[in-house]
Order: sequence, then C-alpha cells, then structure tokens
Amino acid sequence: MMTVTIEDLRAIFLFAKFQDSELATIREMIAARAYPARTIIFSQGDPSPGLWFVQRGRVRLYRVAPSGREFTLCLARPDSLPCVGACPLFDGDHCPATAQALEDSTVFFIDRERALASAANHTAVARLFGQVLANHSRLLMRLSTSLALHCTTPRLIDLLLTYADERGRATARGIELDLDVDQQLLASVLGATPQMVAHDFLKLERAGVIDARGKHIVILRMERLKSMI
Amino acid sequence: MSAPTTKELKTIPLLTLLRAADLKPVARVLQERAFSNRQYIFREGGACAGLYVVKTGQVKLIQARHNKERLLAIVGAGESLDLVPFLDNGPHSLSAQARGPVTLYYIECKAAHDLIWNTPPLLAAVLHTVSARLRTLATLASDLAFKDVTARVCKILLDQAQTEGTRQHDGIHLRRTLSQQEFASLAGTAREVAWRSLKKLEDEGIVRIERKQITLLDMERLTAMA
Repeated sequence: MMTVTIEDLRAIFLFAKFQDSELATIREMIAARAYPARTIIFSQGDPSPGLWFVQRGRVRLYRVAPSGREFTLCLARPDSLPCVGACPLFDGDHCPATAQALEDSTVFFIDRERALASAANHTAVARLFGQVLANHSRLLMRLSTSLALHCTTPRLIDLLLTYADERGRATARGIELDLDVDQQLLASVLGATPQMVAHDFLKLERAGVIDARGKHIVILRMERLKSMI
Repeated sequence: MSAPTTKELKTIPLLTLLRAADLKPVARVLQERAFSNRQYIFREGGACAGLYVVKTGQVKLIQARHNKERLLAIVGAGESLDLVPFLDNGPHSLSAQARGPVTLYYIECKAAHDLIWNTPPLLAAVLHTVSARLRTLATLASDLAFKDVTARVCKILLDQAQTEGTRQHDGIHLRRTLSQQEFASLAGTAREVAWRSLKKLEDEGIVRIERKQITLLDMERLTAMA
C-alpha cells in the first residue's frame, strides 16, 4: 500500500494553501492508487464511490455519445483541475463521464461516505470540496460557452494560446511549444473530428501564423493569431 | 422593506432546510433590490457583488468569450444567480441581467460568505445547488459537442414542454416567451440557423409555429431527433 505524505498532498495545487493540521485530517481519508496508462478509473453511468485527486500523471474525463464519438471535458493534472468524480459527490447519482489514465498515474481516492461525513465535521474538508466544485464549474461554463460561440478554428486558436501561455518558449522564430496530446485526443478536447482539426491546422499554416510539425508548434505571428478568434 | 417572515424565507430553496434559529441571522441581513429591464446586476469577472436570489421576475445568466455573449440560462423565482464565488473567493463566473423588472433578495458579500460557511445546512444547500448545475453544464457541453443544431433545438422544445407545456387536443402548446435571439443563444447557435431548424421541423409536420405559440405536434419524432 502506498504511503501518502503531507508533501504529496501539497503537490496538488488545490491543497497548497491548507494548514498541516488540515492536511493531516484529509490524509487520513485517502487511499493512494496507481493506474497504468489507458486504465479506466470509472465509467460514464457507473455509481460513484468517491473523489479522485491526480497526484502524478494525467487523467482524461470524457463523455461518449451513442455513436461512440468521444468528447473530452477536461484533462486532470496535479497543477490544474486535479480532481475527478466531483459531480456525483453530493447528489449520489451516477458518474456523468468516464475517467481514464492518459499515462501512468497516481491518484488519491476518498470514499464518498467518509468524504461527506468529514465535510460535515471539518470546515477544511468542506472548503476543499467547495474549491473542487468551483474549479469544475468555471471550466465547464467556459467550455460550453466556447463550444456555443465558436466553430473549431477559434477554439483551436484559443487552445494554442493557452498552451503558449503555460509552456511556450520565446525563440527567434516565435513562440515554440509542444502539445502533450495527439491529434485524436486534441479533436476530442475541441469537440471536433480529427479531420476538422487537421483542416484547421492547415488553414492556420496557410495563413502563415503557425508552423506545425507533429506535436511541435511554432506560433510565428502571435498578434495575427489572436486577431483570428 | 419589513423583515421577511420564516415562512417567506423557507420558500427560497437554498433556505428550505434551515431551522428557525438559523434563519434569524439570515433575516437580519437580507435585503431586497429592484432592477429594471436590461439592467446588469453584476458582470462576469467582477468582484463578488453579494448573494442574489430571484424574488420576482426573471434574470438572464450570460457568459462572454472574445467579445461574443452567450445566454446560459434564464432563472426565475427562488433561484440563485452565482454561488461559485462563495466557494473559491473568486470573481463572478458570469454576468446577470434583468429580463423585465425584477426584484431580488440580496445579502452583501461578506455577510453571505460568513453565513454560508458558519451555517452547515446552508453550506450543504449551496454545495448541492452548485453540484446540480455542474451536472447540467457537463450535459450542455457534450450536447454542444455531439448534437447538431436541430437536435439541440428539439431538446430545448422538449425541456420547455416538460416545464411549461400544456397538453391540448392537437399537441403540446408552448407559449413563445423567448425572443428568437434568446432561443438561438440557448441552442448555442445564430438566430438565422435556429430559425431555419425550427422551420424545417414545421415543414416536416413535427411542430407548428404561430406568433405567440409553438405547438409540438409529434412528440415521438421530436424526441427521436433530440
């Protein structure tokens, strides 16, 4: 069984500002689990046993249409949106999405009954769950608005600009970045098909605003790219 | 404004499960505020303006991306506007605009925050409400990704049928309370595109569109297309 330390918890950004005593309370509820890449952690429609916090690696949360097409709601990582399973925590209803480890991941699991009982008795735990819900609400609101207002190209540009902010490197050519998702997954994140995404990359290359070689992207003309949204 | 009674306070869903002792501090700080048509109650990105619950009238919840606005929902009596800032101390996640004259219950931000975090049944109600909205948002996002405009239009009509429809001899009657722009925004599309979808449904005999009402003639086909 994996041991969970307070430092392990602090590596997850949601826990960064908690006191040691508060983290000690939370740590007691946690079971650490390892999931190899591509393992399904829970499936859309399953009853929900609790909350999962990604401590290492990445977990994809996605919904599947009756046609089999997938739409990625978010990529959970320790430094941004680390929690999955939040939705059914309070209503006890089924999981509205599937969670899958994208790479070898370590996930901290909190059983639902213990989580709710602890939240009733410890403000720190209630605050944690509040943060999780707020985190997800803000993301999903932005996502649904983006899907409603924009076709694929502006959404792709938006994503490239976000990546540029988070991990772009200024070089003589422009802003260079490496995508951490393949085209299939990128399409799923954008709510599009891989063909649509390939077409959009070509469009941006022809406009001279990016140079794309596989996952390596160079943003050649940042201001022009921003104006295309 | 005279202090609201316990009975009146308990009609607000967020407060339904609070005991009388918990409702007294709420009654002490609760105010009413009136807004006229199209007036903004608060704006997306602004600092928390306070806790607002609709008393009478309707409020539009709007979000913007890159200078374009989208209608997320229209909320009515008893519904809260934006609870997210009380959970993460962040700014408002959306804008709220009066749709016609509206009266809101209002508690100033700090007082509301203290009440929520020191009154366990109120905190539980807030967490439940945000959680329910989160589930709705997840469905909304995947509908936008998976369904075409016609399917989304059908879904809105079906949702309206459930909440506001009246069954008549020829089908389900829906009063046209949304403007074309509002309807299109809820469907996540442009006005002309939504209108074309509605006309297509009419041409196929699934709905009948009149000036003040839409009649759902064929629920089975409408459901299959949603």
